[in-house]
Amino acid sequence: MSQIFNDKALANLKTTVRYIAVDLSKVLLAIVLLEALLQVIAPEYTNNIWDREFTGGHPIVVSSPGNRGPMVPIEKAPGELRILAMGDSTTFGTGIAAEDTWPAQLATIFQKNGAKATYINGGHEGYTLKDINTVYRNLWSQYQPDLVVLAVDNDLVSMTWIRRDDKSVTANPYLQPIAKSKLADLKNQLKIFATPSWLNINAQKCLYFLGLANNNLKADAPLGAALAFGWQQADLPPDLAERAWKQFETYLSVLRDSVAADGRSLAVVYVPNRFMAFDGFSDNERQVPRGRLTIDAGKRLGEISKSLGLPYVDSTEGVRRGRSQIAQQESRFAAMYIKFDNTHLDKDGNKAVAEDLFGLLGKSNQPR
Amino acid sequence: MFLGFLVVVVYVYYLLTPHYRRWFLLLASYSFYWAWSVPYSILMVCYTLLAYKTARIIESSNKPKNRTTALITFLVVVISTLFVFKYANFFLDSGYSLFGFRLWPQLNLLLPLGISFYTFSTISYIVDVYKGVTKAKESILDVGLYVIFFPSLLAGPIVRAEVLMPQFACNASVDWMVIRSGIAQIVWGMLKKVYVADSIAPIANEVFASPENVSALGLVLGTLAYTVQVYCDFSGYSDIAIGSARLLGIELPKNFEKPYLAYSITDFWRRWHISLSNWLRDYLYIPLGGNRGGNLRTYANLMITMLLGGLWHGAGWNWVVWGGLQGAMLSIERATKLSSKPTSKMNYVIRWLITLFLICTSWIFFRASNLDSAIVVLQRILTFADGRIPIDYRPLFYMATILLVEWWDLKQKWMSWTQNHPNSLKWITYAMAIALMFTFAGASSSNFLYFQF
Repeated sequence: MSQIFNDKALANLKTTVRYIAVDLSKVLLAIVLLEALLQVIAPEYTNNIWDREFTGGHPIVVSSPGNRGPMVPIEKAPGELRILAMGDSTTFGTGIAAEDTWPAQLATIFQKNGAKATYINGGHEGYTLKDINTVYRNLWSQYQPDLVVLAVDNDLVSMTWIRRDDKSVTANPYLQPIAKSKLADLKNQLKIFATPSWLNINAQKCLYFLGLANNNLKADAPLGAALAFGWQQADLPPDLAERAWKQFETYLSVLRDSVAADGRSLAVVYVPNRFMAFDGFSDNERQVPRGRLTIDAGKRLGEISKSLGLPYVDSTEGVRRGRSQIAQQESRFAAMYIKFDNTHLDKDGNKAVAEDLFGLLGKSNQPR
Repeated sequence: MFLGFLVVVVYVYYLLTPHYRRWFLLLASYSFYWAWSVPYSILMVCYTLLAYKTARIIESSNKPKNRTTALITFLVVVISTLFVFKYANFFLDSGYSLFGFRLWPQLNLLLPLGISFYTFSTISYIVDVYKGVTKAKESILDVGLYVIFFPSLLAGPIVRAEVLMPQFACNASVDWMVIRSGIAQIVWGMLKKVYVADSIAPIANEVFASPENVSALGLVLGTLAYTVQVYCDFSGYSDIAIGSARLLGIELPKNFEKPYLAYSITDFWRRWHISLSNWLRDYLYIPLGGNRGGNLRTYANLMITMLLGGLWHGAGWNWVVWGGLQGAMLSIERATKLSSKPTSKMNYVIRWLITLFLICTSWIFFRASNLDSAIVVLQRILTFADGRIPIDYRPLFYMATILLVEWWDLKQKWMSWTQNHPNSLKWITYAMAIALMFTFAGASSSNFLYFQF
């Protein structure tokens, strides 16, 4: 039988293994150094912001009924002003601690003003208005809230459409059971390293910057927050956004009627996207071309709320004001949104929303 | 995935003795194809057996009649196979719209990846054996490798047997100059594909998906976006293919030579998809008579060659019209002597601009989903139609960048630089591999455009 490997094969193999080992060591060293550097200068990278078990370093505590934060008894204490906050991840508080969410901060403002306020944070990542209607009727209604507040961001409008019932849409990971496999565990472990999160997040930013990812909606399953802004796209029906808003209005009227049937009042707050609240380059990391947007979502929501007779506040101005106030009073730059996130407010941003809501609701709910 | 596969193949390849390298290369090439489809690889085995046997019959037979019969039989079989897989539905639908009935039932066959390319390659081998240009190979392994050699399998370059087969001796030893050059060419190709072609693709895709909603300016920019995309996508693929083969010590011919700097359509076809142009010239245009039968016959031959060239790209009337346009433009150039070299710089610039304009216009037929859609695009551009989609001016930037890169010959500068900076090339390659991993993890990676042909 003729010779299979050439005479230098063994020597070449050894040389290659040595070179690979040296290069790999260099790469590993670079990763370790980068990890250490990030741990010191950017601790928020240590937890991936989309991780379902942590948010910005704050472990999530969800009470048995499903609200984020402490468990609330069904029966109210005498004189208690109970606030029920409903919405999706912007209410739930992705990226921040439970006490920094706007429902918690709103309750605190009420308390400072003498009310015995408590709150139920009934927000949940990925909830649609249809889900919110269901969960209100079946769960939160019995907690007899005095105030029911719905926080609307652009996702709620687009998700109202189809989302979970549409088989062509990728399943929402937040609504799926946690995968129990060694590979999933390994991936989770890898995620808590700063370096992969840093690379992932910045790779995403680069993709948008280079045009390798864009904000276009899928023509066959037209979802996405951009829909709420009346996103123009050649291969989408021009009336798509209007249909989404109409659907949203229908669901909102159902929620209003459910809340009114319990003898309570519903208020609505609009939580803006970062690129709509601010004009800086770093505030539009997803490179959303504003020329394609035809609807002012905050204004449209105001019109719908007015037509349904609901108290409403658009916190776009409040979030802007919050940033400039912090710059003046505390001499620091306040991002108002969690790092590398287009949608979710940070502690300061949530405070701005809570203050706007107190401005809307405070007078009519003073302690009696 | 491909890069990982390539690294393993190249490494193992150089550990083996030349005899086993050939078998290993065949196995690697089939494995590459099996990643897409196992059943369709049987077709390649059949092509190999058929090409091998036909070449042997042609060479061993002394009677011209037998040789011709073998050649014709081979051509009928492979062209019929191509017809069944690629054109049966097209002709069926065209016949139905003309006569109102179908001659045979609809065939919903999956188009075998690379069939247009390996069909043309095997035809060139058999015709060359028939003409005595090349010898019939005694080893079926050489023919098998020629049919399925993985770097050029999916989208060329279409290499002549006399160029490729002798290199299957696989006796090249490790030459770092050559390997560096191969890596540099792959990196260059990847940059063009991922960071130019894929970046610009969404603009062209949206515009051509629904042209009736896009303004005239938007359509012009969308066409320009496709002009950039099709070049960077296909030439990027060719660079990757040529670089990959070079890593194995096998040299494939150049497929592109700064096509958008061409001063005439004739010049463009000397620079664009060079291996296909050469194939069409050698195996279609010249056998038809070339320019030997007077002007009218030459124009007719040009038209037939380019019409079939258009049809080769895809089964649709838009491809036929695209090919017809190329044939007409080539004929007009020939008749007006505009295919000759420009006499001054000013003359070159004017002719270059006109050529670029004509090429961009013809891409409308190449990209549109069908002939009606292409006509809608042209109508809307010519009537300065309004649209509801905001204009994206990025194609202008990309086009300008490509032209400058070609003008300054940055590719050659990059290739030379990497020879002098091997360590930098190594780290650039690592960085590129990591960047690609993260890029493809987030972006929806698209296939190369020419895989569909």
